[in-house]
Amino acid sequence: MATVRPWTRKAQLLFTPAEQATLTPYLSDVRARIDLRQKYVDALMDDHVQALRWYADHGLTLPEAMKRLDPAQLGDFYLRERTAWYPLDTAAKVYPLSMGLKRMMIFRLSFYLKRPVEPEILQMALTYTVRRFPYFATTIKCGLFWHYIDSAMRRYAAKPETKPPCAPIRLNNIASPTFRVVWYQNRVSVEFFHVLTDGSGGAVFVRTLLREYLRLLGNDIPVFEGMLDPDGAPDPGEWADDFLLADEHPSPEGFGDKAALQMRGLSAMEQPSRVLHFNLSVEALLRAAREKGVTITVLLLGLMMLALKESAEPHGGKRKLQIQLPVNMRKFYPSRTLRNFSMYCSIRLHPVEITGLEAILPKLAAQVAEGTGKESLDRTMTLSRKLVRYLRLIPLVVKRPIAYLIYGQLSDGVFTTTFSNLGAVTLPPSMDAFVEKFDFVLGPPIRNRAVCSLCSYGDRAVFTVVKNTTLPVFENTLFEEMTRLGLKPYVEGTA
Amino acid sequence: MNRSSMQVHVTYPALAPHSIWRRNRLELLRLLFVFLAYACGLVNLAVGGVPWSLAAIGGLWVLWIAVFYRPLVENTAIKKIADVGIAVCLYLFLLDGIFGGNWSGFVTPIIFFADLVIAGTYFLAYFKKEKRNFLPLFELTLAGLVAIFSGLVGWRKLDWPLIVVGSVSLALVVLTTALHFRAIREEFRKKIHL
Repeated sequence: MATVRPWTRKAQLLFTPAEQATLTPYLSDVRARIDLRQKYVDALMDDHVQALRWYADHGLTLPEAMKRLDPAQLGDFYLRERTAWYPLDTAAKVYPLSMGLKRMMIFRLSFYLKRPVEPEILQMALTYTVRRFPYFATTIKCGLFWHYIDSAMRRYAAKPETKPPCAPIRLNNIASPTFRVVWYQNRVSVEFFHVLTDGSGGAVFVRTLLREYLRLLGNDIPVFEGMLDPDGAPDPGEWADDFLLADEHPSPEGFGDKAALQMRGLSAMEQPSRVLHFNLSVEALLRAAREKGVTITVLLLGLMMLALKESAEPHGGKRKLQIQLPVNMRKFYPSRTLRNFSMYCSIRLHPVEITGLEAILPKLAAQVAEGTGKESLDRTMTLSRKLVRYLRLIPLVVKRPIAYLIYGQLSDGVFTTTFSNLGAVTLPPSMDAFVEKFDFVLGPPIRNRAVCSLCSYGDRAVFTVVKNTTLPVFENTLFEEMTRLGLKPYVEGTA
Repeated sequence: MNRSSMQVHVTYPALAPHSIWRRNRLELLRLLFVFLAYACGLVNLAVGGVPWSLAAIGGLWVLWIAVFYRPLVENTAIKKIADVGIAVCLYLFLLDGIFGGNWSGFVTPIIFFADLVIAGTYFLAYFKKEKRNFLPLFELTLAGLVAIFSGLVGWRKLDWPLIVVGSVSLALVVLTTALHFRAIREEFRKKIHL
């Protein structure tokens, strides 16, 4: 006797016998397009049944619903064994080497809808979206010399949010994914392990997922710049290591710096101890920045410096407050990659120099202009390429413990905090009616007590602070300074 | 300005309340193991005599590897079998070194080939699922081939356990190559990329 699968039972429970007659050939078609481990088959089939029920409950006829969830959209993504594998890009190589049980470089991109999330539809949107991103449908593996990313045959799940933002992802199962999709109320968040992509690449995935979600809800939304067509063929340029594009600089340098002054406060047992989103008006931010004659990035760096001075250790000696400022290299090179392609520069001031916003902005503007210049970044990129070349013949088993020990010193040790500005997320006007805002959250740092990030959509900029200590001086000072500038921040976050 | 004026509107779900013990159980266990290891060492130093603490520390290490240790990447059955096998073999060498008897050269190859047989059988039986996780088995096989080579060139005594280690290693290489040449060649390319 044939085994009755859980999804068959669910279909029998949720649909009338007449509906089941229509449903059976459809489900057989879907089943024929899936060849995964049984638990993934069951889950994917269950997703289809649940989504069809959702459509039926929301006024669609079964044939209409089945048309919207046309099995052809699965392609052969869940059927054919994918054998593609990808060496890690130059920047990503350090992340798996330096990760620990509670230490993993993760970042999160979220979009907030104007209505609550429909989980059944989100799941289907993810199922369809991920096939356009074969490079994301992967798991991390160990090689003899480096980790690499290998295709993973599995279902990718959208789950309710139950963990703190950017909690470590369990990577050690045979097909563990390197990203997770979670939802809460009207927010959908995608958390990426940094080996996979950077903020810009992640934003492409998130926009594509958002479009697919809205399309499945019945909205006709064209593919727009910054998103991919789920029916399109993946382009190898999307997973190219574009660090190799960078111009060779004759005097590479950039890593290693003097130890930075750190913020006060004991590191919390649970990290991040708090996540705060300062919701700001883009127009007000721009106005304030123009009044001071600087960019938004420089203005916010100035505010951060004021807050850092208040929250830093009092006896720092010669140590400076140093902010790591990532720079998207795509603006210098013609890159289509979704992988890591960013570098960083350091913005430094000694606390004594910080006498007021007006006084420090010109210094910060000059440092930003110099540090984010192509030549300066090429130097660091050249050095990172050379490092990878020198280390390539050392077995992973030797590299890993060394990288684990020194990474905290070399990364967080030379910075007080990080400020990552993703910039404006753009969407086609037809999506405006559905999307409230985006936010961008960096994972908790190793030694630093806080990291900051910014992204904007429409007139809403969200400046996010991720805290590793319960001492609230940094965020309180930031709030005061923003209020003083007339930015009127509306603060949201974790409890 | 009033510092308490910052009002935070909570937009995240309340987290499931887990006790501090549960959330940090692995770190706490690791601390316990390290404490026990230090305690054994200190007591042994204070009391003197045979360095039994090394055997105790080695035992703790084997227990950690066998029961609690989970690699952050590729926590697979083959990896576990290989890790436990290597840990036990090293522990046997350690015991022999501490308490004497010169038996480890004979016993460890027996443990080693048993480990190879278990890991190899599992690998070949579930090749489709496990082919991407073969690196630990490859390392074991390589160690087995090096061991038999050292016996053949006279660097160490060539006894029957060593011959079996070499034979099992060679058999695994031959079988895998004969049955799954193309797949394993592709996996090698991944594992050994620079």
